[in-house]
Amino acid sequence: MYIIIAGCRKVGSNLARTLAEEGHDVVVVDSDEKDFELLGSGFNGMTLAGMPIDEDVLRSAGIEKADALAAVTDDDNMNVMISQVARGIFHVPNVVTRIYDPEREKVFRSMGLRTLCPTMLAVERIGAMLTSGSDAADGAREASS
Amino acid sequence: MRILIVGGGKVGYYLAKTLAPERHQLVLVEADERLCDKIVCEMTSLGVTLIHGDGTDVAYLRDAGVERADILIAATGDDEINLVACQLAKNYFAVPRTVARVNNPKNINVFNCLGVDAAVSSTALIADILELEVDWGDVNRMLATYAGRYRIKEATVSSRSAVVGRRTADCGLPPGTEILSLVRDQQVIVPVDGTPFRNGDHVIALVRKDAMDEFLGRFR
Repeated sequence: MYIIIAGCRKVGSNLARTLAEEGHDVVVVDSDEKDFELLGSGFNGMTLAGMPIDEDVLRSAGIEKADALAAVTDDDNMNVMISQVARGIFHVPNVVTRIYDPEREKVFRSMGLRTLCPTMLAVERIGAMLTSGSDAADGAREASS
Repeated sequence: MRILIVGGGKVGYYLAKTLAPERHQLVLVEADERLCDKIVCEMTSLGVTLIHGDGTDVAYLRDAGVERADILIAATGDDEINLVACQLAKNYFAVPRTVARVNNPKNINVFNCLGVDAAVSSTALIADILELEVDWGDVNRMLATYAGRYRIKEATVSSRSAVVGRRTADCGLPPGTEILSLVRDQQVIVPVDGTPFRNGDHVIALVRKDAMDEFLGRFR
């Protein structure tokens, strides 16, 4: 698959490396070139420095032929805008949006974005680990790693 | 009208100041605490409610009375903030009209596609005006060189004017006057001698410099 990842901080860089290792064509877009260092030397995808809300930048990243896009910059609003541009203007079939703020996540999920809220994921997981004893929760963690 | 402005920087601040005397109910939401401190006294004295908070946060928007707002204007310097503020207002709180400042003119199209009612780009507006100046600059230079005694002049036909209903050729305009165009009902008309003037017509004409007052007088 041809996958664009917007944002190259911790999640973006790890996601890019993992997907590239699995053999996907990965392009990482970030406004700060220095963030690409997080990818490490073994990264065999492409990097593109530029504002990922800019249509021209996204075009250079090959968005017109992209199968999927992940919006994982550190800024919720930026992620929402990138995702809407990707879906609404470039018709990317699969777009995933990370939104930290749970309220905002609910709103944009109801507006049709495929969203993921790390805050609520952590809340649910940590809550489960605290209340259901260590075995079950740790087991879930083992399984997911 | 109940107007909610997101962003208290230069654009939002002056907008609030301009709208305040027109008896609108204004709420200004600004995320930067220091900026809030700077403008709070003036805003309060103008009757503008100032809220320190994130204008893309549902909770602060609710505090600002977004549910009763007639219009939301997102005027920050960040396009993604302006877009999200407008979308939350429109799609979640059902605000009837949303207006966004667009900082990067390339995003005008994006905003229009993504449901913002009006996308306003100051950069594009200024570029248009400057382009107009450049165009007119050429015309003015041409006039100075070839027709130094003439000026391009605009006038609006008033209801009391003697020219109303009379044809352009025989309404006693000063000698040498050339009517270049009429703007009527937002349409530009190139008049022939038989075109009668109507009340409210916007007239653009080439007029002799020494006949300027006489020209304007005919339309008053």
